[in-house]
Amino acid sequence: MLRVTLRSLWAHKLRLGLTALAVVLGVGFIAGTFVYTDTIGKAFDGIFEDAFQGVDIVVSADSELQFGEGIYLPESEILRLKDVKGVDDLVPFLQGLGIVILDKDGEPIGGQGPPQFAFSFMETDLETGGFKLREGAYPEGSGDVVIDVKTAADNNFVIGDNVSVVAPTGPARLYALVGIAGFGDLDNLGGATSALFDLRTIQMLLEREGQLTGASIQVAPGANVDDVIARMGPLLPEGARAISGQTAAEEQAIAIQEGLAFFNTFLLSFAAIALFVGTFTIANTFRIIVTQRTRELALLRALGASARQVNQMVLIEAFVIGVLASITGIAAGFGLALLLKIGLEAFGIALPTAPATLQPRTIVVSLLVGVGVTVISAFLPARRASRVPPVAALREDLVAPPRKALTTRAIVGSAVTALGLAVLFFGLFVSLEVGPPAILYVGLGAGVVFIGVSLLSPLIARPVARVIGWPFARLYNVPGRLAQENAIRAPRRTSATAAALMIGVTLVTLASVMAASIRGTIDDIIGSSIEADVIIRANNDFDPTASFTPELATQAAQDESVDEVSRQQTGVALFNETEVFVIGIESNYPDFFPVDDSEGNLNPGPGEVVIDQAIADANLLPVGSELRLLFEATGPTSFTVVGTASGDTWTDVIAISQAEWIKNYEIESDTQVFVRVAPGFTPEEVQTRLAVLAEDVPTAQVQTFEELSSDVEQQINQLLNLITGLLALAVIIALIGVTNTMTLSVFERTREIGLLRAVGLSRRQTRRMVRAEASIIAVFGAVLGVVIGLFFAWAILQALRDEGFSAFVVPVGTLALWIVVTGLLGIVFAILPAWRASRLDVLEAIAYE
Amino acid sequence: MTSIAARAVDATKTFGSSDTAVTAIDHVSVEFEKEQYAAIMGPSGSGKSTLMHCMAGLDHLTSGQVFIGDQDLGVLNDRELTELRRDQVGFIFQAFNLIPTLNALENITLPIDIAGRDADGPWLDSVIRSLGLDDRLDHRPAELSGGQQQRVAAARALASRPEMVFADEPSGNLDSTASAELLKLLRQAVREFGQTIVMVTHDPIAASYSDRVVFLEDGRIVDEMDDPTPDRILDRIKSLEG
Repeated sequence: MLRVTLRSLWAHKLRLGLTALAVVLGVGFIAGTFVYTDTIGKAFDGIFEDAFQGVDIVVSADSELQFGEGIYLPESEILRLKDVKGVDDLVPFLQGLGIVILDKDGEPIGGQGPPQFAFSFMETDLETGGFKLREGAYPEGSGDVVIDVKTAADNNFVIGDNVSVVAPTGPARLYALVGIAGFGDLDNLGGATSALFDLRTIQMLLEREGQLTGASIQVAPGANVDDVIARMGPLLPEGARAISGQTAAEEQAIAIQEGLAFFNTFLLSFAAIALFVGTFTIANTFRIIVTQRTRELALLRALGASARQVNQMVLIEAFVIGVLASITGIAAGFGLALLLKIGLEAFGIALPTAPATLQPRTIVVSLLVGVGVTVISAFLPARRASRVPPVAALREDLVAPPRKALTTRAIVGSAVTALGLAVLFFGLFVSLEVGPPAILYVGLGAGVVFIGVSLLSPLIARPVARVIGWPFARLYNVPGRLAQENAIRAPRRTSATAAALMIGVTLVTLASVMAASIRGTIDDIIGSSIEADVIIRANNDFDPTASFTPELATQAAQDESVDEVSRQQTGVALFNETEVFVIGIESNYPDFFPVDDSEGNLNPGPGEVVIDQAIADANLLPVGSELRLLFEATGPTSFTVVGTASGDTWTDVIAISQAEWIKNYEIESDTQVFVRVAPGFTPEEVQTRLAVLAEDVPTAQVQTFEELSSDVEQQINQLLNLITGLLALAVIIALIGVTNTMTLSVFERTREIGLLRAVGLSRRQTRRMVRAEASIIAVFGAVLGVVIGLFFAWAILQALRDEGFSAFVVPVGTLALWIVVTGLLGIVFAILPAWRASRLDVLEAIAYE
Repeated sequence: MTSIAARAVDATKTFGSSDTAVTAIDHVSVEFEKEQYAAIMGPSGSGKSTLMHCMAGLDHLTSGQVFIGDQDLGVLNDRELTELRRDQVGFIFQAFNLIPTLNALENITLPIDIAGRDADGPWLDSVIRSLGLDDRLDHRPAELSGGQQQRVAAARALASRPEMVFADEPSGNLDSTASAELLKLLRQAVREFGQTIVMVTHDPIAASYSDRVVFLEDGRIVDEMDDPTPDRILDRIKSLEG
């Protein structure tokens, strides 16, 4: 039997290729994701190994937060550690985030993803990794700066140039570029920009005189690192800890791996979608194979093969295809990893790279998934093959015997759909507060709904295909009408093919509606819930805590075109063990952001906080209760809830007074300044005037709310494009299914097409007929997808109402375009079967001897 | 205008290449007159189907010529041949004559619809009536008996008033009653409508409905007979075999 299977496989290489393609693409995506993230992970591992090379002990703040400003340690207490027995050398260091280097046109460099760092940098005897001077000199004195190789090269900076650097707290300052440094062997730190100063200069820049981030320590020859750490213990300043360099490298690597794991999951979920679609396509293809070989299988049965053997034969065939396709997929993954890198870089996400990494895990997972998906998909077709009666070998007609009525299908389909919806709604409305698992329920529920709908869709295939086919019947006359009829002749097959497309289109629809609704919500907020005309905000779309000098707000407030300003600071703190944003507000803040409803006082004083009504409800924090926040710099702090507010702009707000904020973050810089225009001025005029003020502060930008809204829209569109691009693979796999289905259609209707050709259907008309049928199937899938996608989007937005998503916007034009495009793609993917149909030998088709 | 509806001149068709070549029809010259019901008879492998296929524009000759009316089929390309089949030739096959997704009427008007023309109403009505299909027009093929299906096929072949109707064992799949009925109707079409029909068959009874029988053996015409009866045909076959 095995020999028969393998022979048969080899004899149908094209068929094999078509089946395999769906698996190759899906597995390729998985392998590519792993290769890509493993490669990035390895690159980061290299960076950290490098960074802590030669460092025996690292003293740093014992931080629980990874975001926002660091904790600073008193310099004097750190330097004292030099006297601990066993310490050979100690290099103090200070680093800061959001330190922006300006290019030669005065525009900020970076800020589109990777951070903007500043470090202290000095010549030491310590043989450490980290930054190494490539050319020039170390920075010495308050006028010197060294920047990383990549930033220098990209912006044509050479030693001797003047370089402007901006800290959040002040205006741009000019420094002389005295040197250029690389990070170990790398030209930059994972895409970040780095400005290096001597310790005193960076302390001044960051307004951290007498403070450090930490210190690198080398122990004396023969000293035991653990012993030295133990001896340091009592001398460490409060909030500081000492760990070995090795531990520090591992900790950093783990932090990065966690970040990458999220990224990995994000990409893998698209691979999973593609493979899920792939199962539909593969199952369909195997059904085609079985149908085409009905006679061959029947002959085997007639010659004595058991039903089980026939079943196994098909499964073995699936197994072999799965293995071959998975291996090809892994190879394709390398190419895809490269594409991912290029694609993500096009979206401004630059990550460090190393030589492509293929881990055993990648191979194992790819093989398991690829082979598993193929064999599982072939399960039902194999069972069908085993039911081919031996007598079919002698029968004239190749068409499969009529199957059971659709009643069972209606019942099973409805039950499955209902189950899927139940899981989905559980995920959306019940488990939402729990967090991460919610998305799992939603995904699982959606998957089950897809299966249920694909079971049900044959029931509606007939009327829907009739409507969709109508334009073709009008346009193409007879070929169009035949296509219309053909599309609903095998409603199960039509639906299975359409269902694969449905999945991709559903998700695209979902993404489009979500994007449009988010835009709508933002427009609503800007239109009705913000009593400001112009905003000054940080020139960084990736870091919500990015800030700029408060000078700007002061100057703006004095401009005659400005009626009133309200400053806002944003920082990160821990609340209930989760990271939250805490804002500092001025007393006029509620005037700028009207509430729908409020309780108590919205103007927090010392030790007081105002919070979103929803947070108060969820955490049982009514007015008068106590709320605890953990700040990086100042540690745990208690506040009294003096007011709660609800309204579009009050979602997730935890607001303390400006003075309180500055106290707890130990920095005074604004993240946003809201400006109300004085009578007689337009927002555009005010924007122009304030932009002049902001010229010295390149880290800030002045925008009207109209501009802000179009900025946000652009960002949302970019994300939408990325997601759509990733979903394209699922759509392509589904379209391969259309090709396969049409190939089968043509094969099954050999006689019929022969007859049509005999009585005068031209080749061109024959091609039209096949292409129109494919297009009807594709549009059917697209319509199903749009309908389900709209429903999913509606359900998700309902669940997110509390989060402030008030709008439900249907981008009608976009969705209509998708349906049309899918229909056209259906035509494109039917070109081959259509050509085959038109080339059919009429005589052979109608011969019956 | 000649009174010849179709003819073959020195027609030869070989299949395969040099060594294994099989000559299906071998220098056949034959004419079929207008308004005549002709039958081509011969044993399996005699080349009767090949001759019909070539004369109907379904297959190409290796050498020689075939004409429908005055049109030499050899000079036509695929598109022109398709149009010729659509407009000037009607077909009735042994089986699988109808498109299962179309009802009887749609099947009958299929060639006319493909051409994008309007059916000749009165003519269509008289064809349908004479074939007794009035009350079956909105039935799909699956809802019709074998005899009814072949009558729909016959109606389709006649509906566009073609120059020629080619019938390939039209009664081959029918029981004797349905078969007799169909053959009578075909003969009636020749008498009443002035249609020209060429029928391929190996059944002497079927052939006896025709006006003229052409006997084919090993790709050559070996005999002809006018106004045949089943007995005379059987005798002739026996003598040919003997």
